[in-house]
Amino acid sequence: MSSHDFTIAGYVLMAAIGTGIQLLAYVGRTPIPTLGALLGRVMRTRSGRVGVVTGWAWLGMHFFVR
Amino acid sequence: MGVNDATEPDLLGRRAKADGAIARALREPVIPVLVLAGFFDLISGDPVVHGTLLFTVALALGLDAIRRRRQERSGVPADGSGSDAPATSTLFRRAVAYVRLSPVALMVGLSYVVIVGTFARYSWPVSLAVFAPAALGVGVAWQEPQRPPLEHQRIGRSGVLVWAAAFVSLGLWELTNLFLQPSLTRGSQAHPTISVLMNPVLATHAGRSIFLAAWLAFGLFLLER
Repeated sequence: MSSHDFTIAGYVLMAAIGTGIQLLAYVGRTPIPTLGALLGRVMRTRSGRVGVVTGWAWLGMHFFVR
Repeated sequence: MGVNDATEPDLLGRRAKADGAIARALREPVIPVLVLAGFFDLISGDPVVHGTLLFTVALALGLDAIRRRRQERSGVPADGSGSDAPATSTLFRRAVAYVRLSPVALMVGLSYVVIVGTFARYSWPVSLAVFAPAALGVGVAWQEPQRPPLEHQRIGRSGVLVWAAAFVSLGLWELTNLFLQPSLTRGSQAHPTISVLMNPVLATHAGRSIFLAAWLAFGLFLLER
């Protein structure tokens, strides 16, 4: 397994874990909130809302803005 | 007076202040997270404007927190009550709902992603076309008043920790690959970061348009929260 493959496997594992947590949250038998619910809660304060939206804005700028 | 001349109450006061600052940072970690993200953004060779956005927002939030604390001490409500912010918020939420449902808005959005997708990455046209909604989104998020959490939105610490662990792990994996590159400013196929992996996708018109559509949709989703 090359370094490239190992790195990709790491990202795939992270994505799988994230998906797994979200599915667990949907089932509702755990105290884990869905990502949407977590964002909704975080975004009820100004710092949380502005922080999350700034992350979104940065993402677009990172890939497109010079 | 030198440092060694500090009395015990002075030292205790300083320690209490430092403890308070740490507790506040843990309760509301947004400012330190933005500063850290801005630091790594700058050392990775990104255009200065990206890091500047993160630092500027962190500074603005810090100043806002100080202003709110002063207002609370002087007995003035610091949650935006008494201003027209809630009315503006409601109006904006209606506008977002309209944008999501309106066929005209959908056509405008589709035209935007198809047209902007034709522009080369990091060109001036695409920079302006992406910066405008990004800045608008941050501005709108800033305008919204503070809202207390609803009962059904209360979330246990363990649930938050699970998600935090997932995001921190992703951040550390990304950071590890960034440091394993030949240099911080040169991407590597052996240890690709997410940005390096996205390069071939964003090299095509379709890839850019799909990414922009998902980015815009996610922005609307966030502003509706």
